[in-house]
Amino acid sequence: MSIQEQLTTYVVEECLQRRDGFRLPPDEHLLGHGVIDSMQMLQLTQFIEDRFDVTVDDEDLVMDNFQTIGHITAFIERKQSA
Amino acid sequence: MRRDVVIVGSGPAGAASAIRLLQRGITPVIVERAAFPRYRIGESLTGECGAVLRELGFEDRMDRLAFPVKRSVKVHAPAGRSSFVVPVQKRSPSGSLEPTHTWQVRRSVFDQMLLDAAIERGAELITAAAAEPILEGERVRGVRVMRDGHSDDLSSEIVVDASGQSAFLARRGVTGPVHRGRHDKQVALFTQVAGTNPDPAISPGDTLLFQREKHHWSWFIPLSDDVISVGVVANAAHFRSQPTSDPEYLRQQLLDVHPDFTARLGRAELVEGVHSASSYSYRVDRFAGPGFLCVGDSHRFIDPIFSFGVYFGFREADFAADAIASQLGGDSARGDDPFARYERLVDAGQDVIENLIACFWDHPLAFSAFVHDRYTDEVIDAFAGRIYGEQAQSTGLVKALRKLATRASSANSPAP
Repeated sequence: MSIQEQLTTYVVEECLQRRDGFRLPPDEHLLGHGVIDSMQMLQLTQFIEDRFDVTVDDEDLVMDNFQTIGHITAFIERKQSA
Repeated sequence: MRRDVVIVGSGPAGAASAIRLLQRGITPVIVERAAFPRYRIGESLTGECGAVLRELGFEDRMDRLAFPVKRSVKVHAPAGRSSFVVPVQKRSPSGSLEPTHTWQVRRSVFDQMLLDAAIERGAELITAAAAEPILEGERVRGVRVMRDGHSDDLSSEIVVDASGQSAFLARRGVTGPVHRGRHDKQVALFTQVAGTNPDPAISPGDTLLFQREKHHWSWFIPLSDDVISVGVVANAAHFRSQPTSDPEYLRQQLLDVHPDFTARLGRAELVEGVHSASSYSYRVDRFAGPGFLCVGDSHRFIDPIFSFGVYFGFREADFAADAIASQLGGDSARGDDPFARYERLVDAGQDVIENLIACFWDHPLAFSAFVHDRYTDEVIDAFAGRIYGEQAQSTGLVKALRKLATRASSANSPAP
């Protein structure tokens, strides 16, 4: 599975607890549109560190990196290639 | 007659400056134009502000005056964001966090208590308006005051500007330039209510804050068993765009800012008129120099959401008294510059809180992570006011806030 697919699956199945084929577009605003709340976002940052072997530094915790699944995917790819 | 120190302003920063100078054997003169007592907001005190009051011997008086005990601050976030509670805690001698409390105060009573204590302990109060500084080249040599239509020169070795947002020295060009803060002009509308619903989950004297959107929030600060200070802060442009009177706007906002706020208010009734205040945040360059020092709001005013106003005045008064004692004792002749040291120390402290508040508004994800997970204890320290000195300035939280603040300001700067 690609990074984007793994993230989407995690958000839908673990954060939202949905297994009904719910589709989450990669450009959906996660916090802004209330898809997940900020505690679930913290849970997601933990998942990112564990699964993709990257460190989410304090200064990485900004909306530019976490707005959408697409933004998070790009962030992880930048981190992995750094 | 040349005095050692003239203090302009008798609010908490001025009264505390007087008390701290008297502790060091220096007898100041306080110049105040307004009649006390006066109605003021800024009623909530930080944890370390409580510690300063105890150190200055005010605990019994605070209890006798029945000021509500504050044990935490609870911030109600908008939907989808996590609310949080920051308890008031102190550091034990071994370094662990322990519960303590501070107070909420009626400012008219509190400010009067401080001024009375300064006078009891030996300060002289002159009721007059500070008109202009007396200058000798670049050096401040005293203050020209007006009383009963006559001007009078009070010459002194040092002038302490504790004039609050009137910014006496900054407005007369004695300091460096005044810089406006990053965000827009804010308007606060506020009153007092009685008959609110308690929140059984917290202590009855605690501060509640309710966040609607960026820079738009309200407060709920108990002033007695029954009377609560409530207010709404909004962008001035938003406020002006509403075609309503102040009381109507406030009433509508009280119902509109946050459902939890509406629930707390219940059927509460106004027991005070509706007041308004508007302010920009600002900072003043070179606020200490030959013959002068600025303390508290007279040199810097930041977003008041986390109630640091009185505390900054208190701590800066103490640091200013140290700097003045060194200066009058001749340390500057030995190559040390106590006033420059004072400037660095107090600005670094205010930077921490300004960065904390910028993070709260600009980077909610980071703020949530810091409060709930990464720096829970350091957030408690910062909210209490443990922000001065090398150790407090080098925690993980303070470094993270600094990096995020740099990031925000570079993102906001205009394209080259």
